[in-house]
Amino acid sequence: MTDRIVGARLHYEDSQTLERFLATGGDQGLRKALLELTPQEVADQVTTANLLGRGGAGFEAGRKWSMLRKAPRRYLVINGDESEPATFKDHLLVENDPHQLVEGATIAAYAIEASFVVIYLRGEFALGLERVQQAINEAYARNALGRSIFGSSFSVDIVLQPGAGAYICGEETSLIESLEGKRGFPRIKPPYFPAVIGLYGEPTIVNNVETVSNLPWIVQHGGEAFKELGQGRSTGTRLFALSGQVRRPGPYEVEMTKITFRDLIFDQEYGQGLDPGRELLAFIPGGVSAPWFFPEHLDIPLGQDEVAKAGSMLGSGSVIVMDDSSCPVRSAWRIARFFARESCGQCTPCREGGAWIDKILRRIEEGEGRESDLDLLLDLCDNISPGIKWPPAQTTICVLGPSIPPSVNAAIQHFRDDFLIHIKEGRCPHA
Amino acid sequence: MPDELVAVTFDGHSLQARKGVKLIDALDDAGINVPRFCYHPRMSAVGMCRMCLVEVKGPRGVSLQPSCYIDVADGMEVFTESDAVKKAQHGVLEFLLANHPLDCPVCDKGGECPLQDQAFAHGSGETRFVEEKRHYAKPIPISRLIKLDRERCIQCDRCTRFADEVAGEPLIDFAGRGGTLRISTFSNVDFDSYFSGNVAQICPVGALTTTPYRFKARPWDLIQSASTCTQCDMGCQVSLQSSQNELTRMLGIDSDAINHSWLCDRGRFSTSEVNNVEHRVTRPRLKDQDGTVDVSWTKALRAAASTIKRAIDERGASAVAVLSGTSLTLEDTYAWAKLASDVVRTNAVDGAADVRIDGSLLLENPASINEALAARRLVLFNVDPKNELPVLHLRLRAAIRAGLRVVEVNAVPTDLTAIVDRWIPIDPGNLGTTIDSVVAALDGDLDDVVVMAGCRDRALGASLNTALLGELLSRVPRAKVLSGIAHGTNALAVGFAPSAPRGIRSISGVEPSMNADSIVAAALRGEIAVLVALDSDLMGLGLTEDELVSLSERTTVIALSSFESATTRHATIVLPMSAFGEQQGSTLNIEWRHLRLGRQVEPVGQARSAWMVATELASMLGDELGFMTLADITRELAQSGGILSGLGLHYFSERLDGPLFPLSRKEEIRMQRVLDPMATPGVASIERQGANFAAGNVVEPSESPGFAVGMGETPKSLPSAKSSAVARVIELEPLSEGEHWLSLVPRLYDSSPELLANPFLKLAIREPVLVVAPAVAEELGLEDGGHCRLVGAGSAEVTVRHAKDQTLFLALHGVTPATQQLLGDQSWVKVRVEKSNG
Repeated sequence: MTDRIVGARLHYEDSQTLERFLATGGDQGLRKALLELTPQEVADQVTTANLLGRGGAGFEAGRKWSMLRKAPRRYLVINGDESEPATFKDHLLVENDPHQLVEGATIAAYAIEASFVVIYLRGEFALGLERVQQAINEAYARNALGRSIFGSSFSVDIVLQPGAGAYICGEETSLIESLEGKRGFPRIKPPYFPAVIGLYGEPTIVNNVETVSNLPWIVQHGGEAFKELGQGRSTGTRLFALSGQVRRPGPYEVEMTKITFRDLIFDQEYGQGLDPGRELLAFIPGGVSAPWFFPEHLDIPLGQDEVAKAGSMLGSGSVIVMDDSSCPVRSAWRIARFFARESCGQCTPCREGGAWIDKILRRIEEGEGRESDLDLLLDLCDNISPGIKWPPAQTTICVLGPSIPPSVNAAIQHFRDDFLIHIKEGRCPHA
Repeated sequence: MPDELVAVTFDGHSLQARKGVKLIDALDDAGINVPRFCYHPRMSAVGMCRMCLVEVKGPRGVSLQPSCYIDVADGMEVFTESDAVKKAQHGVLEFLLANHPLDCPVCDKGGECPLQDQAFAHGSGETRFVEEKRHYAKPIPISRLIKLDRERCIQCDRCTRFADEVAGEPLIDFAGRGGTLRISTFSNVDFDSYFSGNVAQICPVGALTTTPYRFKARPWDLIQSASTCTQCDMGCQVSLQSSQNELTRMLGIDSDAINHSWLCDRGRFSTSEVNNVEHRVTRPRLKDQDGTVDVSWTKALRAAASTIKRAIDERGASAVAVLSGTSLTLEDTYAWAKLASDVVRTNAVDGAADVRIDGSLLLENPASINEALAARRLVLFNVDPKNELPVLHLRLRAAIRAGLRVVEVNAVPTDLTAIVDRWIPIDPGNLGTTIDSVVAALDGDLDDVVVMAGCRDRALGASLNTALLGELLSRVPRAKVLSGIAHGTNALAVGFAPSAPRGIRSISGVEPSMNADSIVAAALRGEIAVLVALDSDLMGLGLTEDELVSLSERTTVIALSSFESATTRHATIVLPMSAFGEQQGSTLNIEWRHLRLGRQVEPVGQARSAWMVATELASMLGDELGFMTLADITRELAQSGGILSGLGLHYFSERLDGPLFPLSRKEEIRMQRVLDPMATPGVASIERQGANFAAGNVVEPSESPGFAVGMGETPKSLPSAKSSAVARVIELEPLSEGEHWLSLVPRLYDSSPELLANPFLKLAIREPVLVVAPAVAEELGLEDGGHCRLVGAGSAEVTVRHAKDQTLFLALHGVTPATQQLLGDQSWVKVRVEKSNG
């Protein structure tokens, strides 16, 4: 693990405590922002840093803030509803550096002139909820939150809200609906951004946990310093959640674009490679909604545009490794089943298509498949996201539907023979 | 205001579209049908089904967009027939059918099902879905009237949207998510709504069915005609459907002027009482010393005529009284008005017992429903639309959502109180300032005001109600008025009630001057020799059954009625009357709009139309009414020179709903919506059926014949009801020790002979409930859920509920024979509260 920005404190056993936080530069970014900079200057630093959102879509945080509609009341929501399989970077930050999260959220609130912040955490983060709440309480106690923070004229409150167990509530408009006490249905667009109509109809910024956790560093060291890390549009560092069949899975903070997937998976500093005698079958570069990568993609650097150019995405930063002991049919089914179960059910293609694909893949996995199922699966994918392109075409309200086809398509295109063995011989070649 | 137009290109054709409308509506306007399930023109778009995807050219190329959710914009280029669109529609339809049980042969919706229709149009003949379908327990009764089949459901959100958005009763919602997304009620709370039937009508599949219609008929066996629901004077336009000479169901038609396709359950399911022969009067009968015997019509009518003749000869014409109920057609009402006025020549006539207000105020400057809902300010005066004119409640809710500013003036809060701009209580303890408060609430905005005037609170006397309304109208002189009275418009229009507008009454005949209350009182004193109850249950006028018995011993009661009631039980002569759906004719609604009534089935037994009975009685009394057919009556009304001048049936061939009267009223005819089978499944062919009602000839107004419903003189010279009303001092005698003001307000399901005849709706009848402000309850020691006895002119035992709204004093909900006993002839009813000994 490289101790760079958001993970700088994580090698301490007591990284979650206020003492450690304050002893390692805690509050300095917030003090500087509130006492030395105007909100616009803070926002400018973030724009200069070219901080890309770390939630999955990779939208420039500074640009998102600049779209905020002028209104007397503005809200900031911190999205910590991290619920995707194999994604655990926010989990780490929430549990092990909650003070940095609260500091970052306060800086963001200052920059966008919001007076009310909600930190929305996945309900299953029991320890994280406890620690973030404690961090909030301690922030109020030392006047790092509340009225006239650190003697400045800025006041803000932060409220912690646990989610209720729905992946879809990580989608920002759905999260807002959920906060309003409604069913977690993503909002239909237009309006396209909560920055125009968000929580309670007011302009709202929704930022990811990791995104705002970068802010104390950016304010302290300046946007230019952040931009010097990485290259091109991919600046700073990112936390990658490496999982699957590697010898040392875990979260790694790495400078963007400076290492490749080969480094991340095989380097001694990171994943340390596969088990002896195993070969790499495939890996997913950015979460289960991303198209799969294969051995020929290993030398692509960990950068937003570099991965996009190769036909996938860095997404939420979760890298899933499959060696030749894993079954691509089963993997595709597990992913499809996840999306089918987590679909909110609003749009027909996602609700019905996801559930149908889940059933077909399960049937194939259980040895009951038909050869025609493969074309059927691809056609169903096409009916969910026409063309099965990358980036995917979206005919549903949110992107959950279009997240279903990539893994199904990748598995069928690259491992058709494995499917056929399941179908014709009723067995799994990887078992 | 004409719509602003923008240039668009649909499928390569350059067209103009109304700016700001949804693309799907613009495509409809252009005659391009885009398949749809969740979209409903009277509800907000949700974009859930994704069936209406079309390709729209944007800055980043052509993309598939839901046409229900995007607004038409200038220069928009749209493709509805491209391969991508066809593939998307095909795909969505396949997804919708994947888990659908395809049990069309046993499904009530089969034959009129949007899913079935669109599967034929856009779907594949074969299924690729070989997995096990979703299974749910079914059917689930979500109320006494509605059953839910979750396997058929396609999750379009129409029913849930209706309940939440249109009815304001979010009692059904989605449960679960993804493939298990399903409609559900909340734990143990039924979908108990006045409007529940609408969800079955708008369900695009057979997931929601109504208990009364379930498995009753196949759509292709139904005969239908356009008609008007007569349960109240809202005038909802309906498709009345029958099979094998039995009414099977009623569906709402989208009339832009009136009901926007909605119906209330009271109206929708009223066909069940018409069909309930056990509760119908089917044969004429006479009561004599030996008991009751069935007789022929001739014998019964002769008996009636000779009784009336003898009464006139012996005790004068005023000893013959006619009370009429709620469901007479315009023609029936006119025939009886003419009989009473010209032949019998009695002044003891009231066909509008519910109109406890000076009818002149309603007609001086009338507003249409659409005008009221588009006014800058609407004043709701002593009216509770939800319980009196239920569908108007839905229209009002929609208008308020769209920005209508409403000032509500009521003694007791309603279900609209929470969403209106201002609620001004009519407080009997502080009456003098009521109208000041109303005028103040208008913020000086007095130019475009509509007052919807009712007489909801039975405890508030007619003179006081008139005085308050008169003062309001004199303070807002340019205000237009919309009647908020649920029954009696036909009687007001032909002068068949003492409350009818002045000057509208007969010229040659005798004017009504005794109202229902004074007629009943006179009868109890033995001053009435013959009382004709036209579809009117005397117990509904506040008589106890004991009083009715003693009355019938001194007065010959002639009951012409569709339904059996206490009155028919004790009447001397009982004549069967045809009911709703059994006779042609027409009616007027609260905005004085002329609406058609269709005859869909043969009358039960020997039942006849009331107008026919009137003409026969007239001839037996040695006179003639001068008409032999419905068209004769229409012609006579048309030539009367009064507000119904120009009346004719030819209007109905031009539009679903008829014109406003007087015909001089201007009405902007909005675009007639083509009946959308996806919005109103089951009534697709009503336009072709429209001619079912024989169109009459155009009749030019001319000099009035003997009996007239003309204004007499020009309206300008009428004595102003406003000024005379204001002259009265609004002051009530203060309460004595132990007395309390009482309000008595009706509910939709208050007991009546018709409701008791309805096997489904009678279950909704509830005992009256006394709602008491918590502070008052504490003072009186009344527990929530407890009982007490109210003592006024009579006394009544009632259940107590503590108010959760802004109820000020004692509000008795439920107008029943028992609660009406409390009413006296005071300006405002006072009661004493006694602890119940039960």
